[in-house]
Formats: sequence, C-alpha cells, structure tokens
Amino acid sequence: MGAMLRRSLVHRRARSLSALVALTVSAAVATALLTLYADLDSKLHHEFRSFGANVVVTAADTSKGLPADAMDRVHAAAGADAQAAEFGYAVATTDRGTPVVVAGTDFAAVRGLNSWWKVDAWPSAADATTALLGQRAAQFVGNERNVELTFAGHPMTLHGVGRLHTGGDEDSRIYIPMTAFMTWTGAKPSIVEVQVPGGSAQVEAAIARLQQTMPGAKVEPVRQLVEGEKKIVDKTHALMYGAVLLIALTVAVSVLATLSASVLERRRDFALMKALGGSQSTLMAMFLLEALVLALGGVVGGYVIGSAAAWTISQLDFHTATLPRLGVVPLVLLVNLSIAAFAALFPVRVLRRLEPAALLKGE
Amino acid sequence: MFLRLLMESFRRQRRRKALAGLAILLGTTAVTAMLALATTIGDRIHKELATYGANIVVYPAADQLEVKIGGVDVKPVSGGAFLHESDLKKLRGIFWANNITGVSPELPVQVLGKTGTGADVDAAGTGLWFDHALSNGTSASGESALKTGAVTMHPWWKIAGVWPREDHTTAENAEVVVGSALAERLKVGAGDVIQVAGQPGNTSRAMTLHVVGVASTGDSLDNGLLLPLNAAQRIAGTPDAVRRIEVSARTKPEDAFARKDPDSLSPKLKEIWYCRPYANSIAYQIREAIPGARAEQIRQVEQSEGTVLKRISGLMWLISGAALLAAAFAVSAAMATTILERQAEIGLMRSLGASKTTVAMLFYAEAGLLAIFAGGLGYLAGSGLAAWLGARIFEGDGGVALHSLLIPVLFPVVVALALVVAIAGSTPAIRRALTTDPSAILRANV
Amino acid sequence: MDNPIDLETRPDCAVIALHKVTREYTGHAGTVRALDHASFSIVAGEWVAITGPSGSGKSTLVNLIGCLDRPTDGELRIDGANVATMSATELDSFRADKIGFIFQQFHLIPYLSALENVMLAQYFHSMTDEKEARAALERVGLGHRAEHLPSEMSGGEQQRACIARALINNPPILLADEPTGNLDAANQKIVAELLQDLHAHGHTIVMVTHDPEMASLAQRRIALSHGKVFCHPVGGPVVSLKK
Repeated sequence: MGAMLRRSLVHRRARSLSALVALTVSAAVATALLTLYADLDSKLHHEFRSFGANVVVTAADTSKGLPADAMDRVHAAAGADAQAAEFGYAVATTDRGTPVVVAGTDFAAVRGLNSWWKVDAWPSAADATTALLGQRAAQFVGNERNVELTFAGHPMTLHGVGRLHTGGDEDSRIYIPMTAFMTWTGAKPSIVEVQVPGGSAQVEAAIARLQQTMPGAKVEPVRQLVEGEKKIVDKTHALMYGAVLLIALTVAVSVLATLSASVLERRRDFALMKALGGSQSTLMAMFLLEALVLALGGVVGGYVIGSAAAWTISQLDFHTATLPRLGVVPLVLLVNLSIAAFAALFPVRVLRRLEPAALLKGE
Repeated sequence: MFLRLLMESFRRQRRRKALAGLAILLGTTAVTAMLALATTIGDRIHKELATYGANIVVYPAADQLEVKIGGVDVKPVSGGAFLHESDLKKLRGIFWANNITGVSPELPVQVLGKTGTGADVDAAGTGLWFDHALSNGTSASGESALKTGAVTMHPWWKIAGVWPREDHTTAENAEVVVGSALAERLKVGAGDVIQVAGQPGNTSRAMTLHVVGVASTGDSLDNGLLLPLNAAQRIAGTPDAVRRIEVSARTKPEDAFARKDPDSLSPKLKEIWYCRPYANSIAYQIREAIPGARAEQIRQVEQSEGTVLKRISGLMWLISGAALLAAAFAVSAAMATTILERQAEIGLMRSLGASKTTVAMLFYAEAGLLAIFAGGLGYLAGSGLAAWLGARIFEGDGGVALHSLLIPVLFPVVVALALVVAIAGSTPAIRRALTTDPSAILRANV
Repeated sequence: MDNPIDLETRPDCAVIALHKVTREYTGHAGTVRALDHASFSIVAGEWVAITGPSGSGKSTLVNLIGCLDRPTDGELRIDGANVATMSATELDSFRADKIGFIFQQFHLIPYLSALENVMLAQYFHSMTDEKEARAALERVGLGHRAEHLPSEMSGGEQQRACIARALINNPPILLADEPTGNLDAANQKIVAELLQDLHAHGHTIVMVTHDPEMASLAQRRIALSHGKVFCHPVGGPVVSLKK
C-alpha cells in the first residue's frame, strides 16, 4: 500500500504538486490568520495605551494627599507593565495676578503615560526649577523663561523650557517637578493616573487590587476609556473573526475543487481497481490516505509561510512582531485534514454511482 | 457559432461551470465584503470612538484662565468672555460641515436655591444641549439634518429617568437632571423640584427646576446639575452665551502635512491643507466661521483616535489583501481545473483545424463571461454580507443603510479583478492544453 | 525501400506524397525514431489501409498526414503543398481545409448536439451553414438525431456523426483512425458500408486499422513495422478506381 501510494503521488507529479500547493496555501492562510487572531487583542489593547490613563487613584482627602509610598504601591498592584504618574495640584498666582493651577509631577512618567502631549521641549529631570507651561497659561505670565509665581505668600521662580499643547485642561496649567512642588507648596501628590494594560477584566482586577493596597484612596476607572476600548476591541475582534471565516471558506472551496478534480481525473484507475475486485472501503482508504499525506505536507510548508505572513502583516500594521505560535498547529492540522478528507471523499461518492464497465469502455 | 458554442457550454455543462463559478463567486464575495468593510471602517470606528467624546474644543479667544482641578472649577469664573449660541449654526456652513457629527455647547452656571424639602442647594450647573436640532436639513442647501447635543457626544453617560427637554423651558420653569453624587447628597430624584432663588444684584432670574432624572457621568459632573442651555442662560442672565463648545468631527489621522501652520504655506498648499479633513483644518475653519473663537483639537482624543483608526483600518486593508490573494488563488485553481478537464475538447478543436488563437479566445471568453456573471453576483453577495456583518458587529448604528455599503465604485473594481484573475488563472492551463500535442490528448482517453 | 515517386510528373494524382519522411521524438530516454525514411504516395480516390503492430509508427503517420505534426526530415506533400515548411498557423487552416478526421473515440463535444458538432467543423473551416450540416447528417443516416447530444446516441450513431463532421468541409482526405475500434459488429457493419459508399463517391480514405476485415475493404494496404514502410504497392491510375 505504501509503495502504491508513493508511486501514485510520483507518477502524477503535476497533479500531486498542485494539490500540495493548494493544501499549503490553505494551511498558510489558516496559520497566518490564526496567529494574528490570537495576538489581536493584546495588539489592539497596546494601541489603546495612547489614550493614557484608564484608572485614576485620588486621595480621599486632597489636603493630606496620598501616602508617600503611593507610587510603589500602585506599581506593585497594577503590575509591571502598567504606567503611572502622580500629580499634585495647587492654585498659585502669576506675576500678573492671575490665578493659575500649578501641577507637580514626574516628567519622565508623564511622558510615558500621556503620549498625546505635544511639548516643544521636555524639562530635564536634573533641574528642579524647570517648568512646562500650558499654552493658555503661558499667555498669563510675564516672562516665559523666568516665571514668577506666588503660593500662599511663598514666591517661586521657574524656568519655562517649553509649551504644552493638549487642547484640554492641561493647557491652562503650569507643570513643575514634583520635588520642587512639594518643597514650595508643602502639598503632597493627590492623584495617581494609572494606565493598566489589557481589557476591562484586567482593569477591573487592577482596580480591586489598588483599592486593597490603598484603602484610603478612591480608585476609579476612566469610564469612557475603559468602555470605549472594550467596545472597539470587541468589534474589531468580531470583524476579524468574520474575515477569517470568509477567507478560510474561500480557500477551502478552491482546495476542494483542486483535489476533487485530481480524484475525478482518476476515475479510470478507480474503475479498474474496482473491476479487479477492490472493495469500496479499500479504494476510499487509498484516496483518503493520499489526500491526508498531502495535507500533512501542506501543514508543514503552510505553517512556515503563514507564520512569516503573520509576522509581516503585524510588522506593517502594528510595528511589532508577531512570533510564530506553535499553539495554532493542531487547529491548522485539523482544518487541513478535514478539507483533504472531505475533498477525497466527496468525489468518491460521485464515483460510486458510476459503472466500472462504462468507465473502462472509455466513456 | 462562437456564441452558440459559448452558450451551449454554459447551458449543458452546468456542473463544471458551477465549480469555477462558485470559486469566483466566493472569492469576489470575500473580496467585496472585505473591501466594503475596509472602506467604511473609518466611519464606523469613528462612530465607536465617539465614545471618547469630542475631538475639537472651541472657546472664546479672549477667555480667562480656567482654574480647574480634576474637572472642578476651583475658582469659578464670573463674567469673562462668551461665544454666541446663535453663531453655532455657522458650523454647518464650513467646508467640512458634513464631517461634523456632534456639537455640544456648555455654559457653567452656579445654581443657588432650595430643594422641595428645604435643603440648601449650591451646586455647579452646566447648561447643555440634550437633543438639539442644529439644522433641519433643508434640501436647498444640501446639508443633512443634525440633531446633536451632550447626550450623543457622551455615550458613557447614564440616566435614570429622562433627559431634560429644552422646549419645556419657560420663563419660570425648566427641566433638570441631577448628578448622581449630588442627588445622593440632596436626596432628590425624579419628580422633585429645586427652587432657584436667583442671584441678588444681577440679572439672573428665579426659576423652578423640575428634576426629571439622575445622571451618572463618571466624572465631576456627578456633583452638579445638568440643565438645558436656555435655562442656564436664563439663570445666569446671559442670553445667547456659551462658554465652551465641544465638537466631534470625522477626521483624517494627522500626518506631517497636517501639523504644518497653514499661514506659512503657499496659497496652493494652503488650499490643499484646507481641503483635507484634518482636525487642524476643521479647527481652522471653525475659527474662521465663529468670530472671537479659538478652536483646538483635543489631542488626547484626536491623536489616540488617529492611532487606533490607522491600526484598525490598516489591519482591514491587509486582511483584504490576504482575502484578495486567497480569492485569486481559489479562482485560478478552479479555472485551471475546469480547463484541464476539457483537454480532449481542445485537442479535438485543434484537429478540426481551429487555430490556437481561436481555441484560446473561446476559453478566455468562457472565463470572462463566468467572471463577469459570478463576479457580479459575488459583488452583490459581498455587499450584502458586508452590510450584514456591519450591522451585526456595529449594531445600533442604524444609520448605515444598505445603499451606503453598495459601493458602486467597487463594482467595476471587483468585476475587473475577477476578470483579471480568471483570465490570468486560465492562462497556464490553456497554454498547457494548447502546447500539448493534440493527437496525444486525443489518444489519452481522458 | 527507397522508392521515390516522381512528384514532378504526377503532381495532380498524388494527394498524399511522402518522400523519405522521418520523425524523431526526443525524450528522457534519448531519441526515438518513430518513422524512418518513409516514402509512398496515395492518389486521389484511393482507399488505403495502414496496418502494423503497436509501436510500428501508425500513430505518427496519422499525425503527420493529419497535419497535427511535422516531419523531422523529408518531404511530405498533402494535396500538392509541402507540409514540412508550413508555419503552425498555416497548418491549422490547412488542416481544416484538407483533412476530415474520424476517431476511434468519436470525440464529439459532449455539450453540443450532433448538428452543432458538425457545425463546429464548419465554423473552424469558414462559415457555419445549418442546412448543409443537416444534409451531412442525413447523408450518414442521422437526420432524425440532429438535435441529440452525444450522450443520447449509440456508439454507431456517434461514429456516424463523427463521419458527417469529417465530410462537412469536403476535404480531399478522410483520415480514419481505428474507426470501428469501439463499435460492436452491427455498428461496425454500418460504418463499413458508409465508408464504402464514400469511397464509391470518390473520397480519398486513409484508414488505420487493426481489423483484417476492415483492412480487406481497402484497395491497398500500407504495412508499417518499426517505423519503416513495409510494403506499399503503388495504386493504379485514378480512372480505374472510379467504377
């Protein structure tokens, strides 16, 4: 049987090759789509990081502020991947007598968290007297390079290094380093903005952990971000699902067509073997085995090609690599084997109805 | 005879044609559906992204500095500059007017009064449009109707009860909803009233506010009152005044060109810049349309939306490409199969003296007819599928009717693609059949 | 073996003339000479049977006479024209004009009716003429089957339809390749009678056959063995054939 199979495959080389190509394509498409699909949610969630914080931790009593080790606790509770930045707010007066919100923060953390901030020049971490001026606030100070502010009678001179454009409330504020803020105003950070990666389940879990570690604080999700992200990720996911099914169906039909044709082409062999006394099941088993061997070969080639395609698509679109996943192999194998089995058995059903005598006569 | 040959081949060999036809049909269905979804994905995702609220904010250029911490006005501004509510109609006149999908003006007002049980009320009120017809889509100007307001712009707001109706505002009465935190503190709910005293020493009026619901917004507004804009103007004594306007616009993600300062560009480039739906261009047009206004993109929303939109539509296009490849493969395989099945026929025609060109023409014509027919059907099926998928996935956007997915431009594109693929897919098989010795084919007992 | 015919002196009579025709095939296993310096001629109106065992070069000869193939070497004239020097496209139209094929497997197009199958040959030749095609079917006794598909006809009827198709363009040569190989005795008789009738009306018939009974109907027999022409008695003058 093995020798017969080998001969049959080698003898009809062109046909076997086209069937093998078809099965390789189907395996490649299945691999690529499944690999992408498996990675889709985390990739999409990653993109949503650009919206900034999705959880806000606020001190219950703003005058007291958050505990000193708040940031460490947040990092511990929210996970290593989470980004967080602390803020402290105070209302100071500019040299022109306009009240303005002064915010103390850690510039490096903010920069990582709020990618949408458009800043001409970020202040250096080393210099404690540098400031970032919101574009609206900047219009209410006399000298941007030498900003003179007063808080409860304490004057402070800051060097504005750049302007901040956000289109939001931040435009009306002046941001200064946290250490300078604390020594100047005596206030403590009162808000920590946290960006928890992942879907709403992860966010909820992180909120629960944060609440546990910081009983005194109010931990709230930024509702529109969490809800919106979930909605869009779910919808994109569903869209991809539809696309994957559609493409898989298209490829399956073409593979079916190619394989069926190759089996139908051999109806004379079939008739002859039947005339020689081969039973229906022996013949079916032969066709089936042949198709399955081809399907297996297709999976091997298709996995490599499909993984490469997934990697390329992911590089092009998300600029991050999607590594090959061995986890998709069983599913790809299953898909390919069932296509092959169906393609082999479908024409056999047609063949069964044919009379061997008529076939051999050369109809 | 050529036509007869074609016709009979279609009429009497339905099963064989069905295979190739099915492959083309499925292929074009997949491609049409994917392309239709990919071209409309921008609008759909934009609609979903509306969840994040406005992407452009408009405020008076001569405004005072806001002193807000965590969304709460620490030092409420009294007086200050305002925009005119009556100017908002002009938003419908700008170049990208039809890209503006939402407009929500705001007027903060301090509400001082008493509840029905006698508790004192001192809360921040916000005057808003809830469901306001900004334009009723007069056919003469060709603009579409736009009913908008804070509710559609903030889909994450939740209401127990109903939103206030601005046409119920009279000189003495108005409907109002109470923020959830405030409602808890004041112990008021739907059906209660808040008697506004009016502010002594200025033009503000006394009013009776009828609570029609309790709103949960998830931010500082939960500590205040939401009331119709006209009622807020009446209480504040500033008719026609608006402090701030949030605008939601469909935009093109920002690129390097979008970041250019339009006034530094050459007139020609400026026109190009002006005529692209960048958030910056739309903001620029709003500044032009509304006197004394300053319009800016809300970068958190606009920039991030741009990224998400780019990724998702990029993904859709790449998947469409994959669908196209898969479909091309499917169609070529099926075409090759059907032709190779008919090698004997080709051999016979050759022996009857048909030239290679004639035979090739015949088979190409068959492939072409099949491609046009099945491709056309596939286009319809794909459009239907896209509509169905779109409706299933993006439910509740009832506005996307079938006609918007029956993209006519796609029809020639898809059918041409089907033609090209069918013909290209047939070529190797036809060539093989023609180069094989006809006598060999005739003897092969196929 | 080497018996050239003076083509110059009898150009009109020799409808097929081979002069040292050689056909070689090159495959993986080296070059095979399927036809080796074959020379003979067939005059108009003759009925010639080509016989020989399998592998003797019969098929190669049929392909060459049928203008499906060109000789590697030598001169092959069909109706006076040298086939060896024709281009592939010239050969196509030449074939449509000069040769009427009758196949062992009939090779009717399955989705065309008998009439349409006949008309197909007209189409590839020049123009279709349904009346003429119908007349050709009547000529072979298939007038009542004109609208039937091949699958609805018996083997004998299919072969007659094939003969009608071969006749339709009035080719100077009818080339029959085992015309009765797939037929039962009764149908073989019908086809044999039909061929006899055609011969009586002056058609030139070249027939490849294994069947001695069929071969005996021909006026002359050309035997092939190992690519060489074995015996090729020159036919009599044209006039003597027209009884």
